[in-house]
Amino acid sequence: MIIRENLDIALTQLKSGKMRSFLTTTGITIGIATVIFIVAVLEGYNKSITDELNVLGANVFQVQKRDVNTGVQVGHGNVEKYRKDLKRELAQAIRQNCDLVEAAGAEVWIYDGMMVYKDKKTNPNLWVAGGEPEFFINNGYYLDRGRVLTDEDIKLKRRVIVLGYDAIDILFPFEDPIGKYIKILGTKFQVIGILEKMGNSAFGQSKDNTNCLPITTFEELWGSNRSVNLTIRVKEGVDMTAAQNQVIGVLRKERKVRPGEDNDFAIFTNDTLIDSFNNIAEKVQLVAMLLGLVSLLVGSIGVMNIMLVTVTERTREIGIRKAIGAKKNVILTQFLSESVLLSIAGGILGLLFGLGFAALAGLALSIPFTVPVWVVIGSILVTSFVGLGAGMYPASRAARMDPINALRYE
Amino acid sequence: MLIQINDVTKIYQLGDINVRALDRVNLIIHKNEYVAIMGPSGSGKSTLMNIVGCLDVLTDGQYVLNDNDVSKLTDDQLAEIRNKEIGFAFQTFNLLPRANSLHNVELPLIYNGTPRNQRKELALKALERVGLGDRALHKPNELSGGQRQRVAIARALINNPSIILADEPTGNLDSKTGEEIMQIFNELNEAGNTIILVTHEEHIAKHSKRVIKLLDGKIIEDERN
Repeated sequence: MIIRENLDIALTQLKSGKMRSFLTTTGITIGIATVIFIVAVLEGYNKSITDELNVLGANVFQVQKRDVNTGVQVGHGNVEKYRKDLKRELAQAIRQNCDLVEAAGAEVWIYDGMMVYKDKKTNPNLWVAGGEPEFFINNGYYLDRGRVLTDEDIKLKRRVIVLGYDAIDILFPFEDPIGKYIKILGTKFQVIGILEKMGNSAFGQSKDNTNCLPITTFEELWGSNRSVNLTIRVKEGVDMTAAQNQVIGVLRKERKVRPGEDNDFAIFTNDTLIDSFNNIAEKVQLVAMLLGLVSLLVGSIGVMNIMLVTVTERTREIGIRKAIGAKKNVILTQFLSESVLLSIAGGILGLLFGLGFAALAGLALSIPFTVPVWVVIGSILVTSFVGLGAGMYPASRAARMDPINALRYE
Repeated sequence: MLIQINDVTKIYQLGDINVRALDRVNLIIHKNEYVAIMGPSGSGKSTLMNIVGCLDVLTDGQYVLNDNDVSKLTDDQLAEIRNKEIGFAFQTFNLLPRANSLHNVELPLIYNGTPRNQRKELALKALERVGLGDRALHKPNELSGGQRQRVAIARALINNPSIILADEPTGNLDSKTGEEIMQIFNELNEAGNTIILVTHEEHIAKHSKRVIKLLDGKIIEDERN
């Protein structure tokens, strides 16, 4: 009964001072908008990530010297540092000894190889890989034109290269690249193939920035002191774990790991990549929550401030209500309803802003737009609590007022 | 006996000094009386009105209202008594500025839990009784002073209180309008209501049937007209 009356009063009050209410709740609006935005975007990534991170293909896994570094395994990295490098020859050993494996290839990468054609040059922001013929299919690259690397190229250490579209766009805007020569770090390479255009990943990065030359040529020119990555494709219908175990066995034998010791290399599948993404996403979410919390705190101070002003402004009204029979609790709930309603209004506004920006970001990044229900319910709940907390002191001041003094207040 | 005040003393603390606003006052008021309380400012008439109206508690003595000892009640208990037993009409009307007449009048009903639909009906009846049935949806700033005081009187009447307490009800009105308002009080008294007027104007006090004069916290005169 009284609750409904109090809500009516609160609503009228908020409507009568729209600008003031709006300004008061800015902090809350920003706080909720931040959290909603980040959560919605991350959720969108999460939905699209399963596709995007399937770079390896469902039946491909990778072996690297180190575990994925997410910054959490403090102390662990030191152990990894002293691991022996993975050598190119391990791919050969896997090809020979693992009957569950369809194809295994070694690859190495550099990121600072500037490519030059005539007067055009790429920024050193493209990846140059040294790979084997398996490189393309295992990494999910398909040929657009020309040819990919062959066993022959590897054996003869040919100076040939397959380019991605980013390099093509810069170096050959108007020419057919096939057969042309480009220079990388002073060495000439003939362009033999072009990879199919793939566009951007969910992270906004180009997937066309990969270029590949024979791993043997790579090591001849730039040294073989890098640890290679191994990409391994499992035969159709073969259990992934079984194949991994077989590969692990071969690697342990080749690298002379004693029984009982841990592997001195790391295995990655799409699942582990997704896990490590989620790991990062969780941290981003945590930071967003903290930021949101700070904004909410600031917002709650704003609400408390305006409620104190309101209570003072309406001293006489409080006196009238008390004189004609309003008890303390009635006055208390009247002002609490007002601050809760004010906060929730700010929260809903923040929700709308957050969702709006997340929808825009979803369009821009071409990720699906999803909103977890718990976030919506959670933000309303949180803002209600903020309103309760911020309103408690001003409302109890109103409730404790002496009716005679309040009636006399000018 | 409606009101029985025995040896009531009220002391205010003003800084370091104690002000004895009421000094061992004794007073009995019966049902359907029409009493005017008079006195210069500082005489204690406002304090007496606040105590009779259950807005304030006494320091010493006893106040029995309708056979209930209300001398030492809590704030919430006093609020309940005010809601049930007392209707106020103030010099400054004390209406809620943003609420229309109907809502102002139904306010006491909200605080005693009367259902919504009943409230509207009762409030409209009370407004009609003071001749403002056609101003139910007007807000105070759309009404004249006299009309505002009528709304306040309608609000005071709505719970059928034991006492109607009017504190300088004509103080902010011109004399013609003031007379009209006094006419309403006269009629209410004829209809059986107990009315206590606080005023310092003789011609207003003349409407009552009993005049009590205060000075320095004491009753110095108690006369029936």
